Amino acid sequence: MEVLVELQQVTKIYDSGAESPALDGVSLTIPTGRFTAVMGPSGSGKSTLLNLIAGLDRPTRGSVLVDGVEINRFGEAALARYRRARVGLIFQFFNLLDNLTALDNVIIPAQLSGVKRREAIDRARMLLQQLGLAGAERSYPARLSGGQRQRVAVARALINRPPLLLADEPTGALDSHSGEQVLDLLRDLNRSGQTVVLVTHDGGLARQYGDQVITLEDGAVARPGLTALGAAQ
Amino acid sequence: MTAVRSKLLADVRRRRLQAGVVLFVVLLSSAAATLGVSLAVETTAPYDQAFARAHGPHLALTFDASKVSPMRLAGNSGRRRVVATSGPWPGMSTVIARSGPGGSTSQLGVNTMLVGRRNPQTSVDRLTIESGHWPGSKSEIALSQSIADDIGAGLGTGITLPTARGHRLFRVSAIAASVSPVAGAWVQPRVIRGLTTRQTPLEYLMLYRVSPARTASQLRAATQQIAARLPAGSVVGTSDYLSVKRDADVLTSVMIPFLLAFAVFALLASVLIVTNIISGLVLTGYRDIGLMKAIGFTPNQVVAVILGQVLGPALLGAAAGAGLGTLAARPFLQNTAHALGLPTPSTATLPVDAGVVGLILVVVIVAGLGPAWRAGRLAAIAAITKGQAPAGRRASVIGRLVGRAPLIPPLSLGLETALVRPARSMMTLAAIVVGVASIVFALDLHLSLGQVAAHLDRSKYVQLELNVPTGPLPAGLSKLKGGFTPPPPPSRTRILRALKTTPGIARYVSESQSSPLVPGIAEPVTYFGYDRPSSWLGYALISGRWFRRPGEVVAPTRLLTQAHLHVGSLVTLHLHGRAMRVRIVGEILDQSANDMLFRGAWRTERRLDPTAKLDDYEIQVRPGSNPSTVGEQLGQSIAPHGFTPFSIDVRGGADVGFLLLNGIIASLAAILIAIALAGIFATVILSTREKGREIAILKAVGMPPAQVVAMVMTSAAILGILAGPVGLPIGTQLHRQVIQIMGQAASSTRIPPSFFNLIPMPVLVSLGATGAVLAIAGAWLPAQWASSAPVAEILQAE
Ligand SMILES: Nc1ncnc2c1ncn2[C@@H]1O[C@H](COP(=O)(O)OP(=O)(O)O)[C@@H](O)[C@H]1O
Ligand SMILES: [Mg+2]
Repeated sequence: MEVLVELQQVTKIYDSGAESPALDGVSLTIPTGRFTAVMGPSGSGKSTLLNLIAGLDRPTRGSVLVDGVEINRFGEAALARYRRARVGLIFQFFNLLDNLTALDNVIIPAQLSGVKRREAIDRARMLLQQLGLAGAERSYPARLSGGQRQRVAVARALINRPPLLLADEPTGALDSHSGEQVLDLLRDLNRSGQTVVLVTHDGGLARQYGDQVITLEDGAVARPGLTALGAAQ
Repeated sequence: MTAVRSKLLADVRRRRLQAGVVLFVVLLSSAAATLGVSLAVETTAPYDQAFARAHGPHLALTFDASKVSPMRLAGNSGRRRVVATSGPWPGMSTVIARSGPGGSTSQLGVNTMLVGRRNPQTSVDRLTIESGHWPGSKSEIALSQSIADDIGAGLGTGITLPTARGHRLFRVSAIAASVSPVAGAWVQPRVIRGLTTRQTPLEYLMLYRVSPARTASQLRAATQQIAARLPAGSVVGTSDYLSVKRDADVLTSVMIPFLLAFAVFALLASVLIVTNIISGLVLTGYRDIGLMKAIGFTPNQVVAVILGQVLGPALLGAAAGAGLGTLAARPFLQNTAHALGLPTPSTATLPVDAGVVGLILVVVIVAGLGPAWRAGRLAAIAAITKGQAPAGRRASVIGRLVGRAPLIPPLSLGLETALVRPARSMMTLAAIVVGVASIVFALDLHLSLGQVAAHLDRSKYVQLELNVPTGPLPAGLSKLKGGFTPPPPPSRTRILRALKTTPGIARYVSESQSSPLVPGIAEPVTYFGYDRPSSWLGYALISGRWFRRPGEVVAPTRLLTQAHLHVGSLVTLHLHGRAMRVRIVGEILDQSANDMLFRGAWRTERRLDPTAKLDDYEIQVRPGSNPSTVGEQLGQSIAPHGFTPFSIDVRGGADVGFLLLNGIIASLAAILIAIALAGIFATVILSTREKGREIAILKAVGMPPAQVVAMVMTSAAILGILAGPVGLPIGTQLHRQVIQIMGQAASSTRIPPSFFNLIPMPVLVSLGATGAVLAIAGAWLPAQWASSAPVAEILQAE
């Protein structure tokens, strides 16, 4: 089993409110091609963990290895390149740019990577079509439903074909039906080979979708191991 | 109201940066305004004030000592119009020079009146001792500030009087300032008698305060009354304070137009910036405003919270700025006094400071009231749910347009930032325009004033002036005590031979003066006649050309205006019953002789005034030659054995007044540039705060820091690039207007066209780029902050 991401003794202490670390000596691995679910109550450090893997933040101690490379040693520019090429990010509140159309939102990471606009648009159209958003290309985010917006965000996360897809409570702002659609989409992607990390406070969802479930409690890994589903494979 | 106060304090704390910018901008514009206004106020009447303090003389009369005794003069002071007098003091006209190396006598020096005066504190004309002590011994001399500046003397400098008897050496014991420029140097009274010669005989100086003394004709009447009881011809010189006052007021009237221009600029810029910041506070605080209203703040309380956030820092800044401006004004006022040879004024500026602070607060309130009031009216729910100011439909249209533009993403996103808030962008643009216009204005002004100074001072054109004292010898002078007979002045042939043979002289021309009458002007004007080509003398042409043949003259604007003449007119000059018709061929910038003068051919003048003598010589040295050396050589060549009654003045040296103006222009321009920078800084901070989430998203999906910086800079640089072409013409036009007003105010002169458009085209074009430079400089820090701001937290927030 190939390891894509490995955390070694990662501790994160925020500058403000530093009475206890957000993450405290966390070690774990995320295998390539798996659907890893990170669960735990609110404030347990799930988002912190995801941000460290995404290169949005740096650990106070310990290292984050992606493909064996310590990304916590990267400079800002290298981290930006890493995020652009290797990671797709999905957030609870979509984080689309309101003044760009769905299509223009999707192509941003491609353009940042220097892909020609023409080619980026072709790729984005294809993605949006696959995600059932063929008619929404030219709509602004404000005109789309929550589920649609989150699918646009998924398209944006995938446009550079990153090896790692990270989702932080992607269903938190959606009704249950739309939420299910988005998670099914993530599972389909995983089945076609995409490594996915899903963060959720909902243990049911974590167990339903994840083939590896990591539980965080007060910044530490509570019960590392495989779920029944993962074990069965 | 305590709710308002605690919310206010919390907001100020949270928005320290904006508060800081408001403080900084208001401080600078308050400093600029205070500097400008206090200079304008204090220098409105620098002469009047100094004159009142020194109990200055309205009239200074010099008397022929061979015609009238000091006793008689003192007894004559009870005339009806005379209020107070000082003197009579013995004196003489003389050349004052620094002693050469090894005690040799230098022929270079300046002509002035040397006065024997026991005491600097007299009832009229109280002198201010700027440094040193009043001459006590026979070898001590006090110099006026301007004479000391002219010959480069300070305390302790050795002084000789080359045209006086007895090769005496003096030491400068004091530098003193007098409101009356008649006396340039003082010694103890008993020293004078040993110095007089036939050409420079003993005179008495007497100073009068008279009443009434407001107009020239009142002063003339008083002079006549004083002279009436004295023997005919005993008054040999008169000087009244009005002509001195006029010269002193010139500097002032020159300064006020541009001081006010700068002050208005500064206030304008700060209005724009403060308005921008307040609108920004409202825009980024919509959610806050909604919450305040939801929990029961009234609209007025909301307005109070918003305005208060700016008023506090503004009040602080205005007060601190007024203090700084007052401090900064002091050296300038000292220099102004110095340039005018007046004692340093005290700076009583409380009313100015209070006025400026008040004005600025009003301006800030007016600037902030609009956006604050709109915020107060806002519906609570709309504000809360929006959380952020609606950018309007325009944003999406622009977003689409820009999104389609074939630009790399950071540039197009930056462009979009500049366009979505047109009002803010316009105000920022205006602030940059003010910055660019100030730079252009200041540079233009500097160059034009350089031209004005060069052509008024003419030391680029004429470095040496040779003067041979002539005129009828007063009767009885041959009987001077001690039987001393000075040598006769050098002959004209001798001078001409010396001028031709002295190396280092490029050109020369001799000059004579007479005083014809012109129809339409009550007083005689001065006619300067030249015997050789003279167009190189450095008088700048306003229109027409320099005279070429007899019968042609040039004259300054003021004379032409007063006599209703213009280039091309014919005018008849009258003198002693003779008349001569001349044609005006040129209008020149010329401030000699009260601006009431003609310059023309000597042959024309001689037909009008057969007694006119060519006794002044204007000399230009070859480039690279040292004027002092050439002057010494010329003096040697005219009088190899030294000591002949003629003088050679070396002209030039930096003009204090001009340096002073440049200093003020540079300071005010620097302040305006700083204000423009602060304006850009504030706007970019506002935009990056407002777009914080957008920037965070872009960073999250992989925009590298350099591109974030580029994106933020682009939004500012676009405005900067636009500001160039707008600011350039504003700066040059304003300069043109201000220079013209200055010319009118200073001496009713028009300005030679060659004084405009002095900035070379390539420089002007690159000045156009200063807008972009300012924008990039002002956006630099906020761009860095935006690129390094943490993103994770923002991305998880709703
Ligand atoms: N930017 C931050 N600054 C300070 N403390 C933070 C920050 N982000 C998160 N925390 C704290 O770190 C802990 C973990 O937070 P987080 O990772 O967001 O948890 P979760 O996503 O599981 O709810 C919490 O106690 C939270 O308050
Ligand atoms: Mg979280």
